[in-house]
Amino acid sequence: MFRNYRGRAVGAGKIIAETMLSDGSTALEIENWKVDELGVLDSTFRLMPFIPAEWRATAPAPNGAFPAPFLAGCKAILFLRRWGEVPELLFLTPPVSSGNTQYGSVWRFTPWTRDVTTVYTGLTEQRYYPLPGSTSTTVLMQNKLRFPPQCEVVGNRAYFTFCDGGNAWVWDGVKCRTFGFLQSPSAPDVEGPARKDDNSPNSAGFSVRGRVGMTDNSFTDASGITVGGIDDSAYRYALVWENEDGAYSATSPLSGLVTINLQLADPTAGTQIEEMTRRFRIRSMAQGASGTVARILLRTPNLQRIPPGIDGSPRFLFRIPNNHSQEWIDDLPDGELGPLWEPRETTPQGFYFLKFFSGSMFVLRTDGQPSRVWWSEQGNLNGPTPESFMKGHYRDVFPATGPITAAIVTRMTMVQEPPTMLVFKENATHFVTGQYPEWTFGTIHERAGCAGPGCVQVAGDGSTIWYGSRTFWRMDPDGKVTDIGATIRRKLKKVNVSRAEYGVSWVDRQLGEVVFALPYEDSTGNNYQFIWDWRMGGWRTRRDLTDIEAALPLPTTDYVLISGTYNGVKNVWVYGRGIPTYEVAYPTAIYRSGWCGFEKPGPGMHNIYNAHDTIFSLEERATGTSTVRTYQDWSLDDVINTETALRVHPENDDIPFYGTAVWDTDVYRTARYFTQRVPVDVPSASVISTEVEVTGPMALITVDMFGPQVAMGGGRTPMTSE
Amino acid sequence: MLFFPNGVMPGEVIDPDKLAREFIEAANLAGQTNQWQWKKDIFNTDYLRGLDCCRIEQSQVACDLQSVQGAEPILPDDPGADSNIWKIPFKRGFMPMGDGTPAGTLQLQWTTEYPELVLIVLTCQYVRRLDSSDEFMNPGDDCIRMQARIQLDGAVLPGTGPFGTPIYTVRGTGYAQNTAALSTIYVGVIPAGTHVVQGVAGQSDNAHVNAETVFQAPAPVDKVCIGTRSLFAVRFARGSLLVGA
Repeated sequence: MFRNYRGRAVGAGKIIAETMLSDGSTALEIENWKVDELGVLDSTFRLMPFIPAEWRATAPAPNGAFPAPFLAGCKAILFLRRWGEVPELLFLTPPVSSGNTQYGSVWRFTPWTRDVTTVYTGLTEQRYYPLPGSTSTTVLMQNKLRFPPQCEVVGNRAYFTFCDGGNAWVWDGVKCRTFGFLQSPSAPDVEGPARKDDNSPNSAGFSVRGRVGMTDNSFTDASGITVGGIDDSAYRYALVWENEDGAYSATSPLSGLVTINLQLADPTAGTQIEEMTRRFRIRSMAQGASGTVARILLRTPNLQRIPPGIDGSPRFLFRIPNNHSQEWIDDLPDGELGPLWEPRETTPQGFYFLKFFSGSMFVLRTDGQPSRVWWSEQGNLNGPTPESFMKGHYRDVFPATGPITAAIVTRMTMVQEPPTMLVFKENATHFVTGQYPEWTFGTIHERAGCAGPGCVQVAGDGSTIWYGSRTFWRMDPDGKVTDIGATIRRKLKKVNVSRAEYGVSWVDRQLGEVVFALPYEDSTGNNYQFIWDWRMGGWRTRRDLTDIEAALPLPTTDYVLISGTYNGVKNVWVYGRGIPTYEVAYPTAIYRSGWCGFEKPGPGMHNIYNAHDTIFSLEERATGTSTVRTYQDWSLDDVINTETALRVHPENDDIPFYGTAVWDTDVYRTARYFTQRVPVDVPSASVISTEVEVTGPMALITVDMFGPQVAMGGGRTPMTSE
Repeated sequence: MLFFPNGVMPGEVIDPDKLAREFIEAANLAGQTNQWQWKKDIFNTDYLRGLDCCRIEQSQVACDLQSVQGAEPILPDDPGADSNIWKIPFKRGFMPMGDGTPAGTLQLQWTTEYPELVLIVLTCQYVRRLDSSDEFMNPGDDCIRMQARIQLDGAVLPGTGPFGTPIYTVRGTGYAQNTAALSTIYVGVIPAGTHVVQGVAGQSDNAHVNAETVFQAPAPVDKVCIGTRSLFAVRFARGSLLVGA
């Protein structure tokens, strides 16, 4: 045997690092491999359309099946469980036309409507009813979106914005309606008594005996006899709309005055003090927009005689439980008025982001107020009301750091108690914590920004991972932020940052991965997946679908729904699932080990070796081969060897293959681990990289290489000639 | 509802464990699928009966009210003409329709391990003997109000009661005609456990028109009755999740 014959693990790494030297625990490239629970790298790939081809009349090519609403893609997928039980999926799509029919942007997954004759089989468009009645219109997203559409689910409602500068929407399980109230009601018209003549100061106009007005039985007449009477009074009214989820509009302007004039009783003439109080008529009460179910009438107390401590603001008068009546007769004395009415804000126009946090719906960033957050009210009779905003309940979050780009609810133990909401800027990270309405705002990091709302996730280990400021950041639950992009800096430089705000990310709990799909090189669509493995604390990459626009891991399952293009077909897919009738072409998987030498880093690494054997540890996967290549001395341009490795045991003849093995004749058995020797010949090198390229299923565990030393350190190390 | 196979593809090693996952996936799906997830009208209603997707409970009492074609039901002169005629107690609130025994009461009872969506329907024939021969009430007839309701586990369910031409054009002063075929429907989700459903009815005077002292025994108790009545409940299993395990 050769002297100094060495073996070295070169391919044990499951994560990548662009380093000069690797001890075998990091690789140069791991593309299109996933790592299972036992640490086996697996290149198996599955993909199938979410709406199956069987739901079409004439099934096109299996992987080309798509319903018409997905023709132009799908920008967002949202999931909710109505009544805590009935699962619902909603797809937000760019509008499409099919034949003469124009379709809108909101589609509900309704598998019970699958119908082989329609082009939207299994999907039902969700429409908006702008007026009372059955007239409906489509809900459309604009052509140019500033960010991917944003969704939030609270209870039985889904709230979403298209991030197109338009208004936000609520889906209630049946229809879409606008979020909150974008207008405030007009002031109601009111009518009360007027003077008829000197003796009848309150007998004209709307003069109906009632209970309103301040009577006083101590008034005396000109001759000093106590006769009693009614005092001067003046009142104003206002109106508030209430929608079907209990949200209140801003208060209308105050109406004109209705008055009652001072009048003395004259028992001899038949004018009794108890006949002097009056009623008022309220007319022209503004009807609210679609979704209004009630109107709240407000009234001031008598403005002529305001008691100490009362400021004359309108108080709750009456709730009119409909949206069509025009008139109401007010007969309630001041003592029966309800509490002071707290004014609400008009719903912020065209906000981009929304996050439900600590009982309030936080809406963030409008074009006019790019660093502002508003939070919805809590504690009214309807409980927390996501569409209702108290006046003044907003804050500009550190305007100096720029416009808001994203927000996420996470845990941070260092600031008060959890939970915390992070508010991201392009180049800074802030937080919100505390309790309604006394929120605390602070700064986490003044350089770590987030590119867009789809570029942040909470990983399975409790840390928060986001992309922004041209790198990836990780915040641990203690609030410490670190740059985790250092080991993949070369790749990060190729991200098309001008389109990164449309980035999409998701968490695959089964694989323990946080996936960020970003535009790479000159692509404008998200075509490159950076995969953060929180178990290994490192990165892998994936390149299969292009134009990834939305992804949703379905709760309680390991299904990942993904919207994107594969093999030229745009569709909504189930990622990681498939069946032979939906077999799709495999993406090529590459495992390229790090630059490994036979010695540890240090002076010994300059010894020169001849690598002439590699041994792969694998698990049986499929028939077919993979290509093994070797490179030396940091040059990936020159292939030293090209060899072939099998994907199953090379000498075992009792492996059952699907499609050829016959049940009860062949032996079905569990897949086994095995090792395979692949002879190579890297004649003289200090560092070597071994690459496996495969198009098909393969399971790789480790690669080891072996060889003898051929020169001492410096013996063949290059130098300038003297 | 949604079958997303893991996929065993040609040429791959057949691992029985992996193969089994496909069957488990399919079994999960089959176990979670129930009638309401299917397309509308996919089942003929005939199939509904006796299937596992719902259970039907019913209770019915028939009375002879001498109804013939072309004539509305009438209350016979002798209240005992049909022993199943039930006189509505006067001013006792809602009372179960029946003779007070479990067997003679219009009621349903069942026990379930799971929450259910139920449809309960009470239908009954209201009949009243008026002093006049006219089918409408005369001023001499007592003004009363009758209400019929469904009672679930001791609680009277809010809902609509009978409605007909009011007396003196004032709504709510009483039902003025001598017969009415009523139906009251309840749809709701009820929790697991034992449930009792009864048909209940009551009558009282209408003080808006006359003082209470007008109504002394025996009138109008003898004259205000429920004839044929039936109560049924359709119990649907609540839908389980669409998504897989």
